[in-house]
Amino acid sequence: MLIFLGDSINLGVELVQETGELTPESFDHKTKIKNYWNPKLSRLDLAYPELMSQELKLDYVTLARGGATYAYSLRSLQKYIAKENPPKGSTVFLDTAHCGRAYLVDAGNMGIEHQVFWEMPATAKEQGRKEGFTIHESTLEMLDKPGVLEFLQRITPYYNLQALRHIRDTCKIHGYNFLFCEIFEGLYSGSLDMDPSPSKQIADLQPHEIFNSDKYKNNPDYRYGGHISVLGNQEIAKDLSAWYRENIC
Amino acid sequence: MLIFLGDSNLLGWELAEVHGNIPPTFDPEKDLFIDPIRRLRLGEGGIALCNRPDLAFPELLSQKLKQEYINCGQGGSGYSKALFLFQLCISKTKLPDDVTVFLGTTGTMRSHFVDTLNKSEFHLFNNHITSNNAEYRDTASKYDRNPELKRMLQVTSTWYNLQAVGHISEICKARGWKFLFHEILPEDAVSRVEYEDMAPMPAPRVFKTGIAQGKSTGLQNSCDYMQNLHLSAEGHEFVAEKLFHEYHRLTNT
Repeated sequence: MLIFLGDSINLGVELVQETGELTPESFDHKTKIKNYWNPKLSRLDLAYPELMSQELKLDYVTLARGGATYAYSLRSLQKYIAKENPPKGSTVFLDTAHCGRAYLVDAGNMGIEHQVFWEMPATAKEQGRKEGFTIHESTLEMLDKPGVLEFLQRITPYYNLQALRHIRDTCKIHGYNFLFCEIFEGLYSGSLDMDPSPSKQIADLQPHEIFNSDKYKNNPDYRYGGHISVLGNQEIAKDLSAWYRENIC
Repeated sequence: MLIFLGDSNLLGWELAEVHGNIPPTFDPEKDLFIDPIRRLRLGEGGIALCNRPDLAFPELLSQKLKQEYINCGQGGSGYSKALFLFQLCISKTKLPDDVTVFLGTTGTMRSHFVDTLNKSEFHLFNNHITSNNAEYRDTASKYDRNPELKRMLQVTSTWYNLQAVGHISEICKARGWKFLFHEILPEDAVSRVEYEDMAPMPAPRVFKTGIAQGKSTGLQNSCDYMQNLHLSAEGHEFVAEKLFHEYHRLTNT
């Protein structure tokens, strides 16, 4: 079983512009994606999780969501484990996301999560509307006050790094393999050198837990707009499948 | 090896008012984990004089179990701060395979924030935002005067604290260490773990010491275990005794 965590890179966002819209009857997505996605904006059938699944002949699920961050990925994984209990030996792939995005939960409203995704410097409200997410009005009101976003911008990388490590530890205790895929942005490593605070220890991934390649970032053939092109998705699928065969099989 | 995580109760705060200062025969920092930022803050004066770690339950339990211990307790600590210190302790200390980690209940409305780019820490404690670093005190003061910011942090802090409890538990499990999340103060005090049924979060089940219900004789109530806002010396003995028995139950010894 392959489990994919991350943001829009996992979903084939912008491939619609490159290749046209997905024909719904040609692709059965029901078992493959668990979170909100918009088939008019993304081509899940051309994204690397689908291609890897075909290459390795293994079932997969993607828990990704556009604009997601590590804290959101952690929450998605926890929910999925609680509900589906995937088997030991499953492999979790987490792709690079922007550490400056925030994911907030108002625990006081049990069952009504307040989820906010945004990328600085856009305001939460603007970003929320743009992405089509349902955001609780009271959350928006809180976030769009002076000083609030500035403070969140300071502290979200730390929480995201904690979530990254938490995902790794969760995989370990459930007997899942884990791979952090630095396939697009190197933002994981952007805030590691803050001794004496333990940022390095917080996200102390081992070399065998990180897949890093510059070739997707630097080759325009592998990029389309702000995302990965069809060719890029094929190349990532090939490389990650090779990693899987070498390290897991 | 025992590792204790929690707040000022782990350090015997306020006991000096009744029992006097730490005796010169006891080195107050001998079992205390002090991270570099905290070292700067403690300065030459070391641990505050109002503390009596020699009378606190980590010391008492260590004596009962005849095991060495590390005390990661810090005044005002919430669960996210406890996680931070735990990770730092693991990274800077050579620890054996046989470790038992005790996490004491504390307030979920307390928060710990780290600004990774500017190498500073902020705390939300008793509805005030402060910074450990002197050069960021003015910044913290500016945030402290922002009621909207504090409201937002209060609303969202519980979530991060509950995630921190779950993470501490998983770090222990991944390393094969025993873990006990235990009650310190009565449930109606700041120790209450709220929202523990916020499925599908792993419910942080708390070992009830019984301190909230008073002694089993019924002659005394939980007030006997309190010294103003913290555990009294008797309260520390009570908690140590309960944890002693629970340790043996956990380890089948």
